[in-house]
Amino acid sequence: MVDFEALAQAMGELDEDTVKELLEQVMAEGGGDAGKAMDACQKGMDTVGKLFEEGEYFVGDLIYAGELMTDAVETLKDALVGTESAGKKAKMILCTVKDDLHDIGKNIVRSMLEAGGFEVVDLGIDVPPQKVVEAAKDQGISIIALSGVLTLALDSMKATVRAFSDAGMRDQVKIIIGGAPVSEDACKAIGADEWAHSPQKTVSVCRDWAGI
Amino acid sequence: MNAKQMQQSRVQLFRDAANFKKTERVPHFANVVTWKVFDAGYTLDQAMTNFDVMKKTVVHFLDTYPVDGLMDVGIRNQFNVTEAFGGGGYYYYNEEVVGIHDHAHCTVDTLNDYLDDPTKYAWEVILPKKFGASWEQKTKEVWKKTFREYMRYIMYILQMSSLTGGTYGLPSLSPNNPMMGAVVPGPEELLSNLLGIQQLSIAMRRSPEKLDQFVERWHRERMIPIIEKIKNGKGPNYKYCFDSSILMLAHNVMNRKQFERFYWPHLKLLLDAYAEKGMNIRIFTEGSILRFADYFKDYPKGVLTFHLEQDDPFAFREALPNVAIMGGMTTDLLSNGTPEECVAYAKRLCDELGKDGGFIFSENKMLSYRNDAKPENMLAVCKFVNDYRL
Repeated sequence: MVDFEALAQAMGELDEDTVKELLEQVMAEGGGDAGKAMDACQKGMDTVGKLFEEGEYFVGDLIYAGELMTDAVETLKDALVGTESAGKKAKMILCTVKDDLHDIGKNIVRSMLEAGGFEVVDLGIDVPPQKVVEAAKDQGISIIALSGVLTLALDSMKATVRAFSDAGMRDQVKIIIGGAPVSEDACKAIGADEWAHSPQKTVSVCRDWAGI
Repeated sequence: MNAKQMQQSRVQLFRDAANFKKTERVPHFANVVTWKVFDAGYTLDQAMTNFDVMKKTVVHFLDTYPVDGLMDVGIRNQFNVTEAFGGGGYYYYNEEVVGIHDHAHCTVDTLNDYLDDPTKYAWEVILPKKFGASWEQKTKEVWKKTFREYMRYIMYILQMSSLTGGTYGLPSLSPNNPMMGAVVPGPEELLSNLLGIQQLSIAMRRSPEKLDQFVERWHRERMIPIIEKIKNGKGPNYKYCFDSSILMLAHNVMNRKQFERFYWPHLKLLLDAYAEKGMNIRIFTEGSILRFADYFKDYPKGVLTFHLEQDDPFAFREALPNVAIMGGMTTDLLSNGTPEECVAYAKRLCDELGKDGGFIFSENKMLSYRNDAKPENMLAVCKFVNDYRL
């Protein structure tokens, strides 16, 4: 029987060898505990987020943590099919806005959001406003996270917020913007509900909005 | 004052500000890149493939906005040469947008191959990857055409240098290093060219010894010759505003232990050499540098000038009173505020950061896109900083 506390701790400490060893043990034992293993990994990601907030970890560590989570899902995927690890998850949209092709920050945030209990609909990069609105409408999603690195992305974020207003949906969605160029002032000018430089703040805000 | 005298007087103004000497006014080095294209009524695709158009945008900017220096005098973002060679799809641009698709040239396992013979590696690995299938089809005619275009580009650079210096009296920011090209610390080469953010982040955890080897070797082969030239040189070069410029970006992915291991030891040796010779170095810190402030606290005034992007300049002054500040004016305000709000903030910057020297006014981000600043805000700020007496 795998020690899930040890797995969570290893993930939090970014101890790749131990994480890999314990996940392989889960599969060697038939994969029945794959859901519990995934929960343990997500608990470890919470630790990663806390250490980031405390300043011990930084962006590179979050990228590495995301890599470990991707590998974990890959190892467990056959056993995870048909199981539910943490019950029903809140759904949200994440994308890099139009005219911006940067995806590293978005991908870090995605890892942290997934570990934080969200099913993330990742629309990718260079996403036009209308596509975000349509995805929200079609899938009944009310939490939107918009990412960007270029100052140009601020224009696209503003256009995306406006597209929700034009569609008569602005009151039905909460929008957070994130990335290097955003700030309190930018948030006000864009008309978003919140802004973040840190993925941990994004997770915290979105969890509040989702009530989880 | 003729242009040459104006140029020299501006160099002195920048030098004095960086050395914490009281100056009559705060100098303004405009951090303007392609925003000036839109401001002159052109689009990016028009300006980036046409030297004459780009030149007009520079002239328009300098005729309109009173500044003491200009970050890009129209020589960046020129695609004539690469267009002549056939592009290759690694960059993209249109009327409003320009960008480059990221390419990591190495893996952690090929870093030594690159260092062993960079030219061979570029020829056999980097260029074929950059240009894809078209690399094999480059005929002699294509190479000739590209070379001709390259020579035109060199002539254009000389022409722009002569125009901005000889006509407008603008000084250059800093010289090339005593060897050739820019001074690039090893981690920056890893981040910007060889590995990229993703691979570097993972390698710092998964293969730290390989990175140790690279940064050691990079320092030994690339940086020590520069450091020796600095130590054996004549010291400050008063033709330029600064004796050197460095870009710091890689620290943004590092935690403190990683910075301590991969970055600081070698950077310190370089900065110490500049300090020893009384030279002034400008460090453009993309992202934030404040969490590493303690590493820089022992340098005497007049050695370091940090061009800040995300850091609050007032908090930075408190943390590092020995380091001059370049920057301060936010694109948020330039793009969303009114002229009155922009000028009020510019006044606060000059009064609080510049009254005893140690401050060079600039924009916190490279103004690149149409909405990075409203023209009326830019004009109000440039006029204010030019006219304001401390």
